[in-house]
Amino acid sequence: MSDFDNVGQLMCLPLDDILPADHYSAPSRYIIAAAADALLKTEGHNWIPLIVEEVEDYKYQAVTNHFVYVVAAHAGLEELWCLVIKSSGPDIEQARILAGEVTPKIDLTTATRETIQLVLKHLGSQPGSSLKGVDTTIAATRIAAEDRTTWQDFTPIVKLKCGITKGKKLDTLAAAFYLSPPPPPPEPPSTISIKQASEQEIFERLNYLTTHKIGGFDTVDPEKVSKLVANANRSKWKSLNPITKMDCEIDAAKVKTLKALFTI
Amino acid sequence: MVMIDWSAVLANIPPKAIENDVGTHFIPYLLEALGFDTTERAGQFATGVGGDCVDFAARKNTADDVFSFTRNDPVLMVEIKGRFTNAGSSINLTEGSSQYVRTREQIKRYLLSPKGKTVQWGIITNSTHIQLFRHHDKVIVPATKCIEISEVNIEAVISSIKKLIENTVRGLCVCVYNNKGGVGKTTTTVNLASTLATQKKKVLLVDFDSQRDLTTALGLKPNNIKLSECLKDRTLDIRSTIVPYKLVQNASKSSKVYHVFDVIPADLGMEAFTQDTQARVQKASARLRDLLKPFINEYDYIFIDCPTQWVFFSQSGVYASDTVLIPTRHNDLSSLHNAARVVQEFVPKVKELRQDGGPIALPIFFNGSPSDGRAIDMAREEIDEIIGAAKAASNLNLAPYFFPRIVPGNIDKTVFNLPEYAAVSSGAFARVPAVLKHKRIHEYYLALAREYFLNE
Repeated sequence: MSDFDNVGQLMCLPLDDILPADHYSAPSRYIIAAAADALLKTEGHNWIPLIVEEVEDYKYQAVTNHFVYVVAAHAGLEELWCLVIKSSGPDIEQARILAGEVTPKIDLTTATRETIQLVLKHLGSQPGSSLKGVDTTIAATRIAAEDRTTWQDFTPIVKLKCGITKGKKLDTLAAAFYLSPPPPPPEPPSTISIKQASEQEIFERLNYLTTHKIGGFDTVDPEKVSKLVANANRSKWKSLNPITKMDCEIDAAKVKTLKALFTI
Repeated sequence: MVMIDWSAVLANIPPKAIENDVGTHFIPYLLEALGFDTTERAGQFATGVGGDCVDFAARKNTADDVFSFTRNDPVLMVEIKGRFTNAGSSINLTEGSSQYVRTREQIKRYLLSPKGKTVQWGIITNSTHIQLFRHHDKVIVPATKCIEISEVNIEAVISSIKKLIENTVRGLCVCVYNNKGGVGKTTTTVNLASTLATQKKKVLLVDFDSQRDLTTALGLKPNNIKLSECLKDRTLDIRSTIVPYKLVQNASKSSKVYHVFDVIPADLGMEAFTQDTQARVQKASARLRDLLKPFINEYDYIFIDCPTQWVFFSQSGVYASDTVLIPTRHNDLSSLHNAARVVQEFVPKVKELRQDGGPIALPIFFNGSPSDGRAIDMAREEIDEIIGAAKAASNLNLAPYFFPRIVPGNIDKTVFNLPEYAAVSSGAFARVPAVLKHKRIHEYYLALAREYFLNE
């Protein structure tokens, strides 16, 4: 806010200078007419301001409290009290959230079981919700039990068999949840022959898989496994399978992942 | 018009280009893009002061005058610097750097030279930075900020400079302001404006002080459409607020009416300026500038008289101006300190918001002072302290704003002073500016006008 613009100020603006929202659908016409009557009874001074952003010199775009605009227009007012807010994405989003016109979204990556259940309950209670009938206690418990940190979308929920199926139900979640998956992992280390790799080289590759939680390796101890492999007699190995017999939590499925980093 | 591949032009400039390289690899393209072909440019243009030459001068040819042959009446001068000196050290033209200040002063000198009289525009550039200056009589104001050129912005930067050059503005907007009262702002405004009017300049005065001193002193009344209403209502025509100030001279048999200047008077709506009023002024203190835009090509000078204190009216006045003229009183130390605040705080704040290089502060002057004596010495000592404090606090050199005649090797601490007689006599003008009644006072103010504005 500065002395040379109107940001943060309550301004009485000509209605002609304000562009209304193009997506807002006001409640029934009788409510608008009654509200317009109430507005005219108090000399047309709207005490609830329209929230606007300045889009260019002497031009404003309604951001939220759209009902106020509709009523003022219906009442035939030529000017309207508006609060001018900063013209930036997060500021506009915040104003819409605070006005209750937009539901704030919850980060499912980190949400607690209780929050997940509250959100699911809220979504299920909306008229015509596709989540009606979903047991929110079960669904929330199963989702919360999962490691959600690497989820790129909501599809892993389908596999949890918690009543949320692919399609409408899953899509509904996007209205209230978002995910903040970690950035994609950096380039993997180059592929190396398991027979010739040093302990350090084996560690480097296992550590990559562990750190970035690839192929279930997040439970593997890279230091322990690299030591075991490095000390094994690898000269006659014909595959990576001997690793599965080293009692180090690496099974046949994990060997598949290892094949991306090790050759024979 | 020839399309210029600026990426190729920039790529062809040696990274360690010296002045000559910039002159060869950049300036011809720049001048071409600004609309001056090869016959419309002249290198090493003599300014008429000793052996002084500006690197380039330019003007569009007319039917019988090819500029590169006649070298008459240039409209643009270009001062080139290298990216590096011949000795290999880099040249930094970032606004505020010492090399920038030196280059800026150099182009000012050229524009004020005998051959610079017709020049309306000055450019400084080293091909990494560029700035355009506007020349209005004796005043040189930035027309853009000093812009860093890159492959990404160069086309837009040069096209905006071209647009400015093609739309030469007639007027200069001057705000008369000091954050301290009692320095004679209104008296200065009225008498300076009258003096410029006697020199055939078309002048508009804007009384943007809610106390309405200027309006009252001239015996004027606002029209039906008032300035305060125009601030709020964009459908009103600001031209309708203008009231001409005329002087009636009664000779023995007949009376003659002279139009001196135009005034936009202050009105009661400004005195009754409330929170509710302010809520109707879109763009807040930036609004006055928009209101005065229609006049910038109709008048030679627009003077804005504003109140003391950094409030809506004075903020608007400074924001709307190209330059700020700061009267002080030598025996009012607070007026000197407040003048420093205008230069240090308020002008930079507005400059930052405007992003077009303006406004700039003109050096201060003493209003109503003796030319020397103990009191003047004391004022100089106080100014020395102010300059020292600003240097220590923010490394800002205020010396040019207080002692504009200081040049390297010559500590000349002269401050322009308007003699006491002029201030006292003109302070009590009765509906007629003192300069129009007293020859001596007219001479004093003419000296003030020549010091700051008239380029004769």
